[in-house]
Amino acid sequence: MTRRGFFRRLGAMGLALVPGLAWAAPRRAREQDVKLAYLYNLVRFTRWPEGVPAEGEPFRFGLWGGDPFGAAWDDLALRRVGGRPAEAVRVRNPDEALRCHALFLVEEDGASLGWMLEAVRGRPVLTAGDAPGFVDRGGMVGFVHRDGRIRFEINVGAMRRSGLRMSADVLRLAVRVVGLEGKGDVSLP
Amino acid sequence: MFRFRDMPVARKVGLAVVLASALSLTMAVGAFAWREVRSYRHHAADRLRTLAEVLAANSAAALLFDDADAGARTLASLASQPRVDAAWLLRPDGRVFARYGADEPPPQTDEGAGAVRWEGRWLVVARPVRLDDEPLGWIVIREHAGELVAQLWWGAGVALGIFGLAVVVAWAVSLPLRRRISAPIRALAEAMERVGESGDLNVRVPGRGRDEVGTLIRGFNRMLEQIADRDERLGRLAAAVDQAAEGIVVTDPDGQIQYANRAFRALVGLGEEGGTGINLFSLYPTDEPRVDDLRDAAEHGRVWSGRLRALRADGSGYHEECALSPVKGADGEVHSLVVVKRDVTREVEFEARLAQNQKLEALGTLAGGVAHDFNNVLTPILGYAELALHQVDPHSKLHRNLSRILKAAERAKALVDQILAFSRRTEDTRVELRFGELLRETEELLRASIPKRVRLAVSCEADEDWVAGNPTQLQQVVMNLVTNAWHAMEPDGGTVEVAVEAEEVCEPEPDLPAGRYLVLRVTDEGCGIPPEVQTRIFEPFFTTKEVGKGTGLGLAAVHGIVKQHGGTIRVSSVVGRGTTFRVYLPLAVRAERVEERVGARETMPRGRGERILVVDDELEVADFLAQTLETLGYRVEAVLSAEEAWQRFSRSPGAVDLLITDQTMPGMTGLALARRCRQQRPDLPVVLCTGYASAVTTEDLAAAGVAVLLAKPVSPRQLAAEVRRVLDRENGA
Repeated sequence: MTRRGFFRRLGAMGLALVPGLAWAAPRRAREQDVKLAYLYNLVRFTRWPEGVPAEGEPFRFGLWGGDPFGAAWDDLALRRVGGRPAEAVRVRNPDEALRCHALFLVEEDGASLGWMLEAVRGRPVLTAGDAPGFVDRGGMVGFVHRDGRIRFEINVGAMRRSGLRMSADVLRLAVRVVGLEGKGDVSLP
Repeated sequence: MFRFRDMPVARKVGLAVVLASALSLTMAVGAFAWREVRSYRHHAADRLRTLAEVLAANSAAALLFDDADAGARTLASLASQPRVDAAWLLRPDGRVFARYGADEPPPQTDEGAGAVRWEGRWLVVARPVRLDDEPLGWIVIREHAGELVAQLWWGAGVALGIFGLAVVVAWAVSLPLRRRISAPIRALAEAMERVGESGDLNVRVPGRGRDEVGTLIRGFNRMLEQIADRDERLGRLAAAVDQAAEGIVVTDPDGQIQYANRAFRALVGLGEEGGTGINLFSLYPTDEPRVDDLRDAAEHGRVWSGRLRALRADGSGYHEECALSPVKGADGEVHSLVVVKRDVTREVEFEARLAQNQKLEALGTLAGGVAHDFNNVLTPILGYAELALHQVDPHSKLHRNLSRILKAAERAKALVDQILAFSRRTEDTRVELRFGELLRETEELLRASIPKRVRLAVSCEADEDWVAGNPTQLQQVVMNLVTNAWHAMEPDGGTVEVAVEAEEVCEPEPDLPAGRYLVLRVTDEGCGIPPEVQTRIFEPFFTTKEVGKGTGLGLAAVHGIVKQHGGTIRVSSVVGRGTTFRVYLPLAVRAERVEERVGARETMPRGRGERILVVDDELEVADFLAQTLETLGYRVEAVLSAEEAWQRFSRSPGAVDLLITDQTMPGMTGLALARRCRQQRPDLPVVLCTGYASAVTTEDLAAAGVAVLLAKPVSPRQLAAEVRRVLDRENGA
């Protein structure tokens, strides 16, 4: 087998995976798809406290505050996280939000966003959102536009308080990391 | 080219040591280097794999979030690894996502996850980047193996240094070692060379080691002892063969002589070292038939022996007894021939002479028998003819006729005498005489009988010349030989040399015992006698002369006479050059000289009336004797048998003054009669007549008292002389 042949195969394999899994973020994909893919990938680099999710429980994605992803959100249920099957639900109240392990908060109403963040504060729920200053408002992962690309900011303090840990590799990729002093609310430039 | 097998052992040992150490060192260094390389590769691969694993883990996020800068930053951490000169982060399709170090396309790799591969001087590891089994891309790290190469070079340098040092040390260490090993071998080699050059087998090599060289040295010494021992034995054998009395030669199967001993060289007349290279079969005359037998035996590998005529180196001939034994090898082929030769020329000649003598003896017996009978016929013819001659008128025709009868009868008697002389049956009346004087007396007669053109050279002088013999017969020997000699020189003439000399015979021959001899030598310059004739010249009636010129009895008579005198004759002759007869007569030891009248002639002595008794069984002889004696003036009584004579004698023994008796008579021999009569009258003189002079010995005669032995036929003159002499001696006594 030649090396060229090997790489051709490798490439073909990679291309075959792209439409199904969308783990990378193609440039021409829609912005929302990228955010969804990032959410999934970030979940993969995040460690939950022992016993979460509970034994036999699926990994549950929650969506609150709108429906920017459409059918793509439901497709998350086709994936697996940490060896578990995934569920994708739409959250209507804080109780439902607390049953989720990762919660995407859509920027629709500034007052209710704060309320929901407050409701899950300190609980092992990875919160992500694309509202401006999301991490500064107590969110854990905030997607931002930078150099024409979707990037993210991470609030380590919020994650630590909730018993979550983010891989250092991911932290290196973040455009901004806040809450390193352990104060949680303090944002770092 | 200097080859390994021509090297001295010491150098070989040194070389072997150095080669062995070099080889083991090379192997050790090689194994060490191989292990080093392997270990290095192992460790390098491990390290690279670990690096790749860490980097792969650290790069997953960058790949996942498509952050090339982050990927580059992750790769940049490789700066802490000085040997890593390049690294690439690849997307799953192989495109470069991020790079570190050299700006070049990543080395292609088809290895499995985490495999480490050598690419020239680089070590390359490629590892997939995964997250939850999802392939995210590839990490490829390249490390420069310069350190290993340098390490290897350094190792090689160290190894070479150690190698060189080790070789030098090995060489130095092997110096005394190889001296110890090679010294005994060199001693052995030198000893061998010395033995080879000088042949000195007393050389011994010192050495006590129990190793192979020691064994070799002891074996060599033992071998030298055995060789010396064998040499000695061989030398003894060789000396024995070389000094053997028989001629011994060893030849190849074709007869080429390879070895000839001293006796052979002497026999064939070769030089001190000669003989080899001559062909055995060339030493025989071509007309010798038995050579073919010899050659046949040699070719077929048979043993053969026999007598042959052979040739010396100078071409002269001799007789040999030859024994041929082929020496066969294990394959049955004849390898060489051993031939033993002995000169038997003397034996062959002896035997020939013996055979000749026996032949002459037989002839003599035959001729003697004939002559005896003939004598008995002649005696009355002569007697009566002579008697009648006295009784007739000397001038009458009858007287002349009687004279002719008498002459013819005397010639016949002479012939018979010759035959008897040959057959040695003449009366043996020997006296001791000086042969020189006899020769001198005979010389006169010879000069009268030989022609003037023949010169006669007589040498009578000899220190010793006493012989016991019958002068008449010896004179006849001289006469016959000289006559033959001048006959041989007819018609040209020449010189006949006659000489006497004393000679000592030291090597006895069958017919010539050792002792002192008088040799009568008669040499002529005549035609010579061919060898084939030489053996026959002594046979009676053998003559080479014209018919009528010779009787063929001359040399036969000479032979008989000489034999009777206990002597022998030798002839040597070269055809065309002349002949020499040598007559050997035993010398008598005698100081006192006895005069013997030779050829004395006197008138017949007469009787004085003495009474004589004559006995002969043959009437004619008895009558002849009686008439002759009566004519001479004796009173004779003749009887025809011994018995009759005895009766007559015993009647009056004193009435007989002399007894004349025949020896061979029926009833009683003459000797027996004489003995009987002399018992009665011991002083009775007896005269014995016989045709066989040799049949009675002198002892017999003496015992019987016989005074005189008369050989038949008896001439009246002889009878008269002898009877008178006997009677006078009796009277005188």
